Amino acid sequence: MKHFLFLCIFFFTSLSIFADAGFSIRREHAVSIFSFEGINNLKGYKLIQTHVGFYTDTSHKEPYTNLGRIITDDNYTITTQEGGRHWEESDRDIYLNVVDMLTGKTTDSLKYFAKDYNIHFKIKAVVNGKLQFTADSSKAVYQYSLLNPEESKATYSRNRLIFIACSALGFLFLIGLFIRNKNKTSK
Amino acid sequence: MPLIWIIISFFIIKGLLAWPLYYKLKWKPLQVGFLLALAEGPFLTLLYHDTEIDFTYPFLFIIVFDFVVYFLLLQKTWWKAIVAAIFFNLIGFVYFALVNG
Repeated sequence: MKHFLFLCIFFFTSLSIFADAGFSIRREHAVSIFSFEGINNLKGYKLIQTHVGFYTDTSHKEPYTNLGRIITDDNYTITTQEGGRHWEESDRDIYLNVVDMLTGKTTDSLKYFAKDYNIHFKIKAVVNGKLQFTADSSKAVYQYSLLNPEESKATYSRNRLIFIACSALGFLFLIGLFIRNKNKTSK
Repeated sequence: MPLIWIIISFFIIKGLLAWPLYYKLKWKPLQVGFLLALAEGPFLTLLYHDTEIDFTYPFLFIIVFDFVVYFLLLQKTWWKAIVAAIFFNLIGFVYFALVNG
């Protein structure tokens, strides 16, 4: 009876925690990375990343979207993290405006939905105020890290495979222990 | 969260914290705890970040799985296995939700 009461308390505590512990917290998914090439071809124009949304992140820290900036060189990247405590749905929208440097007016604007994909813009030129470009997309991978979160972007896919391998190895060893125990008891 | 910390923290929760319940078996609870950490830590992390699955189901699965492992691999005392599976997983889940939220 004592054990039964003890277990009941654990069971109901667990149910209450299931209702509350982290299931409503937004889960972080893969970061969408926007990169640029050929910014030098924007002669007489500039490309500005603007943000329209309910939520404004003023910290400009990765991995949250960096906002309202002039894209000056090919090293510029826009990283959009989906999920996390400070994330809002509107953060997924990336707005790019082409601005004429003489008149200061926006001549072209682009809107991209940053989710699940990385996009690499290759800018060719600006013709009559319109941006001529190609955009290559690749699948975004969550930033899995092995030792510290500062690992290189090139290792994210490899790290994911290591996570899968570790998990499979753990389950295999457990099955091995089950088989060994079964053999011992049957002898 | 880096892989090494997931495994270490899950080992502390499922191996070291469970050890007093099975101290007569010496090092075996630690071995089982380490294998549980190795199997479940990366598995839950992958499910958490790569899928949209409702986490109630993986957590219930892990509780049942841990019960079977503790019961069959360590000691066939059902109340110990239930306490270990529910209580230590609760600590694990709250920790997991906090560090990955």
